[in-house]
Amino acid sequence: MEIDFSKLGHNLEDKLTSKMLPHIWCSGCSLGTNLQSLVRGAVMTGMDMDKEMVMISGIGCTGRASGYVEFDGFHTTHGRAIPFASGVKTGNPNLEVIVFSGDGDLFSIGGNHFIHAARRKLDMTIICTNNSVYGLTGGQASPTTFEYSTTTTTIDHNLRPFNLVDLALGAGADFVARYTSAHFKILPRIIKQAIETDGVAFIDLISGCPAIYGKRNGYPTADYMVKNFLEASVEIEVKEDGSHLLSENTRVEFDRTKGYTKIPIGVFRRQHR
Amino acid sequence: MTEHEVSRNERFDAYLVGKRSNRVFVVDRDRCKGCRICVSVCPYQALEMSREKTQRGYFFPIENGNCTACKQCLYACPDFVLSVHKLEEVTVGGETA
Repeated sequence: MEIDFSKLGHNLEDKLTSKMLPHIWCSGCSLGTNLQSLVRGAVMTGMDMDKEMVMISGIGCTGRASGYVEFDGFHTTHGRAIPFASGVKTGNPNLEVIVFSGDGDLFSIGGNHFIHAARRKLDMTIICTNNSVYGLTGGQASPTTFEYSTTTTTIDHNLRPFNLVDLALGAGADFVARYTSAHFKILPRIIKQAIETDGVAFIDLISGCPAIYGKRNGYPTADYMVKNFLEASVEIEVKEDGSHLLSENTRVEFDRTKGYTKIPIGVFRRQHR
Repeated sequence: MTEHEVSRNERFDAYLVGKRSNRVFVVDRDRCKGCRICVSVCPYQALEMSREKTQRGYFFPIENGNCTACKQCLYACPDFVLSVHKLEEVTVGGETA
């Protein structure tokens, strides 16, 4: 039995831009897993990725993602991924618009655009890779950096971080979910549901940056990070009175010496217009 | 450990795996960055890290004969290194994929 080596590419090779790979992201970065989950979710919807879907990304490590897949895509200026996506959706309502960007891009300079997109209920899917740090520029504190964690700009104390699920629920998004990058088995199904939602679908995807953030904050290696995500994750219990949506029950807890200690995961809101 | 077939070229390691030996598990050494996520997520302890390095200076995973082609490592891999193919689709003169 002789193997034909020209056929041994990745299973999703026809959905990836092969000449751009290997990508620029560090060893152990969660972004590759998130990107693969997104591509698998898009394949599961059964739509034509080239004709019916557009992927918009902002600036940062995550911004590079639109260049690695065979979606039509655009790498926008800093923080303006959602305004560009709103324009695409308004200009051609038949397209499925996916915004794939990071926490620094979507919630620091682009925070205003996010709440207004949620208010307007345009049909788009927003996937935020939330790694709690500005990785590309060397590890400065971002809007989701935890209170007692070390970055290059916060030595031992930081202000209170955003709770992105709480923010999206308050702003009125139609589909709100939170998972970690280690839930690669269920994520494609969640991304498929998010793409099929008519309205703003938001996924807070807790990810890790072991090379820049983790080595100072308790998860120095990628394999420890994956185990940490799975151990700290708690599936939410949906209650009649809606108390599972309160801010104290959706908050992510973090310890500088151990990494994540509690991550409430699940789908927090699922509604159709 | 069972005896198993391996074919290599300058880029790929192809292992014959699965219960009925009808799957091919592929490691793309050019793309690997040695993060060890595949080793930690494998439910059958079928992967271990190599002792030699790739051209770019990283250790890469090697299969030790326990693989059942469950694809957990494939889904977890951030660098699009690992893949699992049906044997008849990748042999010379076989069906096209």
